[in-house]
Amino acid sequence: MKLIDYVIIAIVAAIVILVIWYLVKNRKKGCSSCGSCSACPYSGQCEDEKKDKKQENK
Amino acid sequence: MIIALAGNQNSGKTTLFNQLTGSNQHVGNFPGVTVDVKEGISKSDKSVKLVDLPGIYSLSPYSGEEILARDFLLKEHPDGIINIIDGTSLERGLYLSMQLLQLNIPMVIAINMMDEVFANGIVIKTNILSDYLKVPIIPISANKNEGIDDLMKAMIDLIKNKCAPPRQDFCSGPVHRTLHATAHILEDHAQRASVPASFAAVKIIEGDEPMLNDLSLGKNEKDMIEHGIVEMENELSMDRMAAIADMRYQYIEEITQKAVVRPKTDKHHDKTIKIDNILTHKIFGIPIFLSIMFVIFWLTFAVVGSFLSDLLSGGIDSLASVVSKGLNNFGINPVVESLVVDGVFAGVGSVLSFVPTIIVLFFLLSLLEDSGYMARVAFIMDKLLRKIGLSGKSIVPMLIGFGCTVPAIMATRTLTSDRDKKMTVFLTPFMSCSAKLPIYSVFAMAFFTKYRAVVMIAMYVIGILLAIVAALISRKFVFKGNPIPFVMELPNYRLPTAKNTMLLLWEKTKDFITRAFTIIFIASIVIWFLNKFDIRFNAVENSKDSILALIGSFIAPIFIPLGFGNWMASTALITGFMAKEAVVSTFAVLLSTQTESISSQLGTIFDPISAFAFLLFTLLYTPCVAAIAAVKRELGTKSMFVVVLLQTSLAYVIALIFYRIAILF
Repeated sequence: MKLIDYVIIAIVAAIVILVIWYLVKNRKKGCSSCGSCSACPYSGQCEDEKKDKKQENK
Repeated sequence: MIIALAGNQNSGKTTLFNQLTGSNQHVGNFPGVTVDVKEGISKSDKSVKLVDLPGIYSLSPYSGEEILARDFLLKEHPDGIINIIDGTSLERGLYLSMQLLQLNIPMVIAINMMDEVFANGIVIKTNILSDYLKVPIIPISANKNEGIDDLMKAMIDLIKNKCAPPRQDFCSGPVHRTLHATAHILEDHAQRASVPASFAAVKIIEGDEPMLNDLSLGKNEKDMIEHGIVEMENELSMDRMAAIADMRYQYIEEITQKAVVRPKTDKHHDKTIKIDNILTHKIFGIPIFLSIMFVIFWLTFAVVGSFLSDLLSGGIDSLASVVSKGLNNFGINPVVESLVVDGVFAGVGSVLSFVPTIIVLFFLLSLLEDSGYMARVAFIMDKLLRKIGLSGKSIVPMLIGFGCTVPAIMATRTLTSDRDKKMTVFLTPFMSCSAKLPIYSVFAMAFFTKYRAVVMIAMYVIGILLAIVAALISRKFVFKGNPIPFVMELPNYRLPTAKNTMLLLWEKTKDFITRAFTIIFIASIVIWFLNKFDIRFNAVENSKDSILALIGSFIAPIFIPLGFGNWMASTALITGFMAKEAVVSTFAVLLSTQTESISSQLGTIFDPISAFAFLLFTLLYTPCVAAIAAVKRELGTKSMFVVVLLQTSLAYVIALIFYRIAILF
């Protein structure tokens, strides 16, 4: 394998890590994988759960 | 500084909220679009927090939305209230205003939809209204961003000067006497509970249970109040609820007679009634709805959507070819080239190519929603839903289910009856979510090219029909009893606005693209890896030797009776558990093919009968992991397993019956 092969693998791996980080961050926010919150008429309920969880942790 | 936006359903609270905060919250010409409290910061003044409350008609604790709004107003003590009233139905809006005025919170009344008021030839004398109600009345048109600055200025001035509406009497006679006597008896208790005594008195007379609990009245006090109420009832010859409602409506009538001039005929409303006579017709209502849906699906799957999707998939394939050639020219390792071309491009591209189809479908659906027709759908379906044991209110989660099952399941929280809620959660996954659309499209293209649109529509219809059968069976054995009655206001028909339509389209498109570049991207890489290496992590020449083939071959025999006992098909079903679109991306990666040629390659694994059996299985088997988590959150772990097992068993049985019967012919 050449250096360029390692570079491509590293780029793909970095994107994978970024995507996983993004999904985990959203999950912690209370968003499920259903996507954008502003389109959802029930997004406030996710926010409520987030607040509840924060209070429980405190 | 906290300002609450309160008003009737469909009065334009969320439109105003979006204008004030710069948010893009979902807006629709459909009562009950907002079912929870939403918060945002004012664009013009960062110290102002705006709270969009669900649409309510009174402060009585009947529905979940009313309880939520009332709790917020009474317990969170906002600094001000903007009461939004639809100018075309002022009387109904003022019924809530009269209750809000008693909360002793600075308040401004915004009369919205003034453009429609003018168009209908209605004249509203705001100065007379203001004299009667003793609060500023600001005419606005939230949709056109008119009058918003004046409204905010008036609200902030009131808050800064702590100008709560003065205490006022809306009536005289027996009701007036009873109200004052009751307020006098409970004044100390109301003070302790931080509730205005006049508001508490009205609620106690109405028999409001939560208010009774909050005030903790003694037996003597309760008896004295009850004695006064019974006397009032006898004097007026009407019950307490009717007496209070009558008092409010009499006052509203008095005000509107002086402050509102209406033309002899309301052109807009007359037009709405004429259209409704056809669209909500007793006999033709449902056939018209089905015809409209057929046209939408036909345009999406056979004409515009499919054409644009084919165009985009051609573009993605060309890009993949260019990248592939470029990588070859650089002498890149074949495994790394495969990672980029067969993993990333094939996987993500196969799902991404369906963006135009999604855009066309949701564009047409948003036109229906914004015009006010979706509210009529709930109305005409109520009768049918009641026959199968569901409330008309269940139609809202079910319609959301055609977009995504997760918010649909969450939407069942608005159902007040536990029975209705459980039944709706159980039936919602039968509705084909947008993530299943690429699967239907790819298979319909591969095996039923001539009848592509018919097959796609059939998948939606089969889901609905099976939901009806499941409802009838579960009604007999599990969900016994009757659904609660369904009451909903039908809004006037309106021309869909470009802003609302584009907003909905953008959100849906963004959601689909985000999923393609996140979940589908990860799934494609994992599938590519498992398909490219064996258990010793050596690259394989033939994917039959891969880790994935090994895993798939364990499960594949289960599907032999259904006609698709191939390891690739079983692997696709497993990844579909993560996200339904992953079924298509998995086939794209496994077949190492370009987006446009997945359909032709599928012919090597399926024949038309097994392909349809596979479609039936994917339509009905377990919802994706996010939807299952939503079921767990709403109904608990036990119900979650019941839903997964029931759905998967039903999918297996239906696909088996279809396959076994179909191969006989």
